[in-house]
Amino acid sequence: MADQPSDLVQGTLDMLILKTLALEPMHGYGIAVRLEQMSKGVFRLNAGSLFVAFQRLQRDGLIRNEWKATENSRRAKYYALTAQGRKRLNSETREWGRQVAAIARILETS
Amino acid sequence: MSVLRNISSGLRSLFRKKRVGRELEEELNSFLEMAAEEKMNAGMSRKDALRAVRLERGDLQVTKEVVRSAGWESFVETCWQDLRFAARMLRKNPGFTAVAVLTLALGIGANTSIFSVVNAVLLRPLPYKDSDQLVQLIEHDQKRGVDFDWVSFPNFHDWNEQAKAFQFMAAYKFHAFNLTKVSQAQMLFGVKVSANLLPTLGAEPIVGRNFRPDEDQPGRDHEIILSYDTWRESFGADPQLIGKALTLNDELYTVIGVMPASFNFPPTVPITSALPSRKAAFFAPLGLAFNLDQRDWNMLGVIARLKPGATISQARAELDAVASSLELQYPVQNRGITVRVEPLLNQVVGDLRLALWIFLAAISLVLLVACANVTNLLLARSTIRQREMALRTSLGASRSRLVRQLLTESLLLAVGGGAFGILLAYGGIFLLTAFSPDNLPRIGDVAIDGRVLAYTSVVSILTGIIFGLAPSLGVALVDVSQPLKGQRSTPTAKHSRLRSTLVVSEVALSLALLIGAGLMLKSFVRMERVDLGFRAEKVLTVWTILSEAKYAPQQQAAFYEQAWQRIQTLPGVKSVGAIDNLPLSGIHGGGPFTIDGHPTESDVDAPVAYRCVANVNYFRTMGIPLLQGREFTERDRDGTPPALVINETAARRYWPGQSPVGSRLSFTTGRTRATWLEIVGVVKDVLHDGLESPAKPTIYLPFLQSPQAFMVTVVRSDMEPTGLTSAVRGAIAALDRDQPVLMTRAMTDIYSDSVAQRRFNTALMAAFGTLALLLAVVGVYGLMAFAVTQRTHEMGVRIALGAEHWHVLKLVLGRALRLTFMGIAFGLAMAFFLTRFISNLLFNVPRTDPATFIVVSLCLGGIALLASYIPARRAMRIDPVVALRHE
Repeated sequence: MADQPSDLVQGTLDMLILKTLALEPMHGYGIAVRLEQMSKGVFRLNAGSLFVAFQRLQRDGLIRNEWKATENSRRAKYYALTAQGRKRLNSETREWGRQVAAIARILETS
Repeated sequence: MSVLRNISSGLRSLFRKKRVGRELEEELNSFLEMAAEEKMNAGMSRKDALRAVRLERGDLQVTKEVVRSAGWESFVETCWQDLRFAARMLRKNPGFTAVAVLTLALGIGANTSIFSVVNAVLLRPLPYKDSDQLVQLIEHDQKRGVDFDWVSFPNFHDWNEQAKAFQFMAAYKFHAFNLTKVSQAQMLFGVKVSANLLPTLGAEPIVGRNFRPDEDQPGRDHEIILSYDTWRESFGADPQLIGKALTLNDELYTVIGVMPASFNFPPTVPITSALPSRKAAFFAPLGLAFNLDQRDWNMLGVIARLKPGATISQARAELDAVASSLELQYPVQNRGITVRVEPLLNQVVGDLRLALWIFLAAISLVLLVACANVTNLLLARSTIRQREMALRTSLGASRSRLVRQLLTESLLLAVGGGAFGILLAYGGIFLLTAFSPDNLPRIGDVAIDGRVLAYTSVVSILTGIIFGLAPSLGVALVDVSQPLKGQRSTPTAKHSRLRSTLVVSEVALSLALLIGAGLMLKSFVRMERVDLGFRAEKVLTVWTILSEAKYAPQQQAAFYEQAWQRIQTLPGVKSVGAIDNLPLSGIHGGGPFTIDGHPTESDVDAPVAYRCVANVNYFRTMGIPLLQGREFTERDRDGTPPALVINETAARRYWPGQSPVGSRLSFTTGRTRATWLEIVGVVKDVLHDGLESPAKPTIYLPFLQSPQAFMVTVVRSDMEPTGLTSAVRGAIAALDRDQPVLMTRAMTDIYSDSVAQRRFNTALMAAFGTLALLLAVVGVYGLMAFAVTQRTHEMGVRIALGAEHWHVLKLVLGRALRLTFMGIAFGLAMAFFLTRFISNLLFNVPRTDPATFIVVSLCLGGIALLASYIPARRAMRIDPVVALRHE
């Protein structure tokens, strides 16, 4: 838990999960590993926050799941983006970009 | 969309808990396995890898809990757990549960019953289409400050022509038809209506058709629409009746339709409150011609439907303008006359509105007393449950969790109380409708419907929160360590103060209610003692109306004289009187007159009086004493000088300080040549409009000089008057077998009806007061009994150390006395403030009547002390040995 950055903004995790799933459907562990790789180890997620986020995203209809066999022929639940999820990812990314740019401007001028 | 998915997913977790849990566990397992596998690939042993993963990613069981409690369904689940736990706790304490639920059920049930009356009478719309657009138009006389429900035909005609805010304006008047040429002649009471009246109400006949627009004109008006009841009862619901002719008042009327069973107009039939049926039997065309001379003949009820979008204030403004232009045009008849526009519902409900809201407020006070009682019960129990709460707190339950648990228990109690309350309300409504006066508008519609149920649910939940909040908060704030050390649990000072406050408020609230009830009771007693001015006992009233087509005025006189002679000879009959406007019947009529030598400019300034037509024996039969001059005699008939008798009030008001006997007056006003009538006698006042209205100036005319088709014959006998009914009917039928008797009723019944509303109000208030008293006494007893139980140890020590028995008694009673006294003090203040709201319901009793305030306070104090004497005696008899061993 300590390894999860405490200032991970509520909703940011959701966006990162959506981003991870944008390429291809993945199981939970795959998502965790991919997030760590992409963030170069900044985001190390425990199972609790990850699975609560999965549940929330599913209930919002942004992702759906399916049981499939992994490459190691283990059964795992795979998550995939829904059309709605993809739309949300696009809008969130745009919004994020806007906010980051705005914050950067504020920080530079002060 | 996503809300729906959220709900369905949550529901799935709730109801397929096992399966959802298994699935989550499997997924988590595979997650952790994969993580471990990776570590093992890096060279760790399986055991080390698993531990590292647990540290890094979290424990399987903990994660499962975290995920499960993230959704809303986990909240529902704890609620469900709380509920089951609460139910178990309540089941384990059946005595407590029964007392609490019963107390709440009484409060909520009584509240629900009264609300269902409010709902049916005040809140439910009238049974007409878009009834909120319907208004009644009433003339208001500014100078005299009185309303005239009845309007003259020319005024109605002009309003209808000139006002534009209305979609329809329709008129009606009451009418009676004598139905003959059928197996048994009968009297039908109904209304004559303008052709657009039924369309104004949005009503259609179920069989046949409505009147056509021109069918209310004179000459084309011989058609009739029957009410469903008349069609069924008098004609066996014969569908062939449509198109057939009926003989009504010896003229032929064609039946063109039958109204639905549910239809009634006017919504209350106030032809006379003495009438047994409240529904109009028929609707016939008005058949009135526009006649300017009749502008001062007020006889029509006027209703109207606002145009869609038009407001009452628009209509008012418009009619104000119309009224003032009519005032300019017809100064003699219309001076000072304005028009009032009232929603039809207000007109129907009348004074009842205020009384009903007062009753709802009063019964809500009773419910508050019930709440206070249950709060006290809960507080007593929470003292006992301190150990349990302390244990749960030390095991990790948060305070908010405990409050939630306890509130759930309260709500469960409240819902139980509400459920039983609804059952009680069915009984309450039965009693209310059985004992309510018949002329209470819409009382027949009282029932428990959706709105009542919604009200009861809200009230139950609110009561649950009101009585549950304090005890649950109190428990949650309890010090954890004390009870667990096994120390005797003593009530904390805070608790004890709260409980005392509750008992004080209970006493105060019930005192206020009891004072209200006391004032109303005293009003009722005072009213019953009022002298009516006549003796109602052993008098039978016989209502008849002769067909004017068959009997010309002189024949009417002949018919009635013969009928009275025949009735006079019946065995048991002492004397036979007759009058057209019977006292207490709600029928009255009258108008302005001129005193010889004191002419007035217009009707508005002229003296006014009720006008009645009485026969020779009327005053003697009713027991109305003669004060001056003489009564009517057989010689006051057609051809002799016109005579009249006036009452005391008229004499005092219009002939102050002198004897009116010998003076002359006339009923023609203005410039027409007067016919003078001479006053021959003065009689004592009669309270014509009921016990609560002062006597009005009244003029009596001798029947033989102004015969009437409608007369009420009053028969005094020396036996039970209703025993004469068939003999009297026989005597009339023997004269004319086509002449129906409208009805016969004992005068005492008519009297009884006239005070029914007040009797009902008083009984209701007394019932509320008693209920509150009962609850408050239980509250005082409960508090004292509990205090004694809690202090058994202390009392034991005191007695062991030599305290006298009376000393212990004083200890307990002293506290009870103090609390009761405070309650009474607050209650008196509250009553002093609250009785202003019932001053309209009082009669001849000031709202701060000191005697009532004192007597009620003393009674309540006495009863409360009696209730605390029982536990006090128990305290006195405590055996110190037993009390100390109990430790």
